[in-house]
Amino acid sequence: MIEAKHPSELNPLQTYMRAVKMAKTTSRLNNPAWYQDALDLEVQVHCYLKNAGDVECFLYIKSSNSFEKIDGLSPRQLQIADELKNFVDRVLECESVSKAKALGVVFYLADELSIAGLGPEHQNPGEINNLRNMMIEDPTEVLDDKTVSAETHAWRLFPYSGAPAGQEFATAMAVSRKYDDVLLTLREIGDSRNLPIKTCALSAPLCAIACLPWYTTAKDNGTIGVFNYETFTVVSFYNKRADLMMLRYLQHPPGSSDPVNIGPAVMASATAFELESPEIILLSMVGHDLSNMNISLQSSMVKSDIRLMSTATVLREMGLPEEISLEMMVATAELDQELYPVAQNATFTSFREEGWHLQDFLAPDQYELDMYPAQEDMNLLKRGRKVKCVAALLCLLVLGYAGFTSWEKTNSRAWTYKPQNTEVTALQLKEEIKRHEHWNSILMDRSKAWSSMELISRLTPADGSVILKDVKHRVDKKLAPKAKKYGLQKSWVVNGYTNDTGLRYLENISTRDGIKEIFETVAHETGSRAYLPNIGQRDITVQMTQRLNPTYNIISSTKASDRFRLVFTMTITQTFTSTDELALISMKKSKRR
Amino acid sequence: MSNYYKQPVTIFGIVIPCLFMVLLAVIALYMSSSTSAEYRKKKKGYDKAQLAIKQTMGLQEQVQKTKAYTKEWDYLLNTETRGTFLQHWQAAEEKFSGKELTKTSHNWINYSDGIGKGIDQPASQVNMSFSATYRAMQLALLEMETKLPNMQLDSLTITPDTNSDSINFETTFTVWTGN
Repeated sequence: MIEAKHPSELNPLQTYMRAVKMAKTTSRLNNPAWYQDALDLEVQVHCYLKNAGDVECFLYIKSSNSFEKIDGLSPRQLQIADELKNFVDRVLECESVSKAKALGVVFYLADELSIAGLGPEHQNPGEINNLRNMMIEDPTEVLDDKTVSAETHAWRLFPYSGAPAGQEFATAMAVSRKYDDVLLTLREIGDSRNLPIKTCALSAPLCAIACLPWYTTAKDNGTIGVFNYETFTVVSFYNKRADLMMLRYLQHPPGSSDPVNIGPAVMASATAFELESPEIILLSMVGHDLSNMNISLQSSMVKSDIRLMSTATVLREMGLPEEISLEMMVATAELDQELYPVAQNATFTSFREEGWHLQDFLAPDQYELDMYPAQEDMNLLKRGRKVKCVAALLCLLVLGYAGFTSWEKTNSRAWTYKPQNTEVTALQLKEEIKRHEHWNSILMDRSKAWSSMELISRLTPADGSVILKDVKHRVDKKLAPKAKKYGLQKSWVVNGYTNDTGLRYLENISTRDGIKEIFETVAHETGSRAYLPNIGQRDITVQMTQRLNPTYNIISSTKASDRFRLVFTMTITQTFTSTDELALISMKKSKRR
Repeated sequence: MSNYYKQPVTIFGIVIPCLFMVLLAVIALYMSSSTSAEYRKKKKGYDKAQLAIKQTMGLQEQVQKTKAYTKEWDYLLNTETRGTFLQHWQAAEEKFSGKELTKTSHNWINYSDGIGKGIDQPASQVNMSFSATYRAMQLALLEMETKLPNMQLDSLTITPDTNSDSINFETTFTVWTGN
């Protein structure tokens, strides 16, 4: 249903909300039929409106190009909304349209027509497209007669493609708006049912003019088409290429089915267009007997070939039901240009391409169109939904990612960790370790008397070939430049007596390897690492001197030492550097001072 | 065609929701970024603390291993005096006869002029003379130096006793003392 307010009265948000509401509550978003023309829909109802009698209605299925006559509407029913609803119901109940998603209602207005000339300021054929729009929007601006009403009549431009230079290139055609409400009611029924009912009101005479190619060819003498309707007759004049040069509207006298003096009227126009003995085709569009009209034309156009055509014959040849009108055939059938060469001329090419003969005289006005979002708006809304979905998905992903990472972080042990003061404990422990290391270093087994005595005892062999006189052992600290620890130097100065056997022993141990072997043995025997010779940069040197024993007297010795031929002095020096594990921590500089 | 809907649909149907979602995403990313920055800060502190805890545990383990020794050494250095030092010697001497081992003299000084000099640990020095057999002297020294690991030999002079079969031993020890 049409909303109460025009969108121009709504703010942008309300306008948007209306579009959203339309998208949600109607099928406009998904059913493109809402935005198609009635003649493009699969299911159509074609209604032929004459002055007398009921409206003849035909159900047309586009895909099968089939017509089916259905119950018509009386003029009274046309004015009653409920009757129209019933009519729509009846149409939709038909078996062939039970699944219809849309319905096109096409009115053929055969009950009236007006023709008017364009104003003198609008005689430029180059402006035809502009004039076409102006004719719809503001016909008084275009027409010669400024008194015409755009409110009571709908005006459309109709071109004369074959008009000679200097003649009118187009004319204005009008029908009254008396069926406006009928069509609006039908559209509203569609709105209320959420079923697109698209309407279209064609001028039956214009469709009749467009059907010329189906039954004639271009004649060198030109062609005149006479289309007889209930209250008027339309005469169309075509040149030798069958291009339309002019239309004449001839009103019938009241109660008559023929216009008065059609013969002289046609002759006058034919003379004006210099059409000598043109072919004249007479067609009764509403089933009138045209014999009087034929006589009148024969008397005026003596040399012309006058053909009294039957619409039924044309329809039969087309394989269509004879009861439909010729206009319906024009509106629904495709014109094969190869079969009907006339269709290739300018007039019928423009009809085909620009739809001049299928102009909707009673199209919904702009106000009504504005009430609903256009297809582009709906598509925009649809695309907007997709964009929003994608954006929402991306947003969700971002939110999810951000949320998860934040959750992960805030629930981590690092986040909830409360700092503990481990520094004091660590300091205490370090102090404890430092104290231990200090004591461990201080109390190391670096200089022990008993192990030193063990070394001294190892210097003498068990066979008694060496005896010792005295031993002086000293332990001294050595502080190397820039060193933080004291190295040590141990020295043993051993004086003794030896005979030749002992001397060999002493000479053996006085070598680097010999003395190291002695130290190694002492280290293993005593368990003292201080005697291990090959740790770090430890060094062991040994020096031995010997000389003759001045008291040597093997025969009458008074002391044990007199029996030894030699005296010796052995000096052993063991050095520990400041990097040795036995090095001693020196006092801090300030303390040393 | 109506021109009234295009702009509102574009603005309210696409632009504003997208901007809102972009804003949401930006806020979420900003908050996540803030959280991350805060987390990095906390993580740094946490890692530091964990490292400190690990180090402390390592230290505790280390202390645990050495505790017994340190305790023993503390006891030794806090309880040993010159009096107890002499008592230990007397006890060692009693294991030998007078001929085997006799301490002939001893002399204490309150500082060390030997190994202990210039060392960051208080020490005193004791000079002791013995008249003993080599074997007895070595055994006695073994006992004493085992019992008192704070004794460090500075010098040892071994000379024969011209008046007997004994040997004269001149010893100088640095004795580490408590603080």
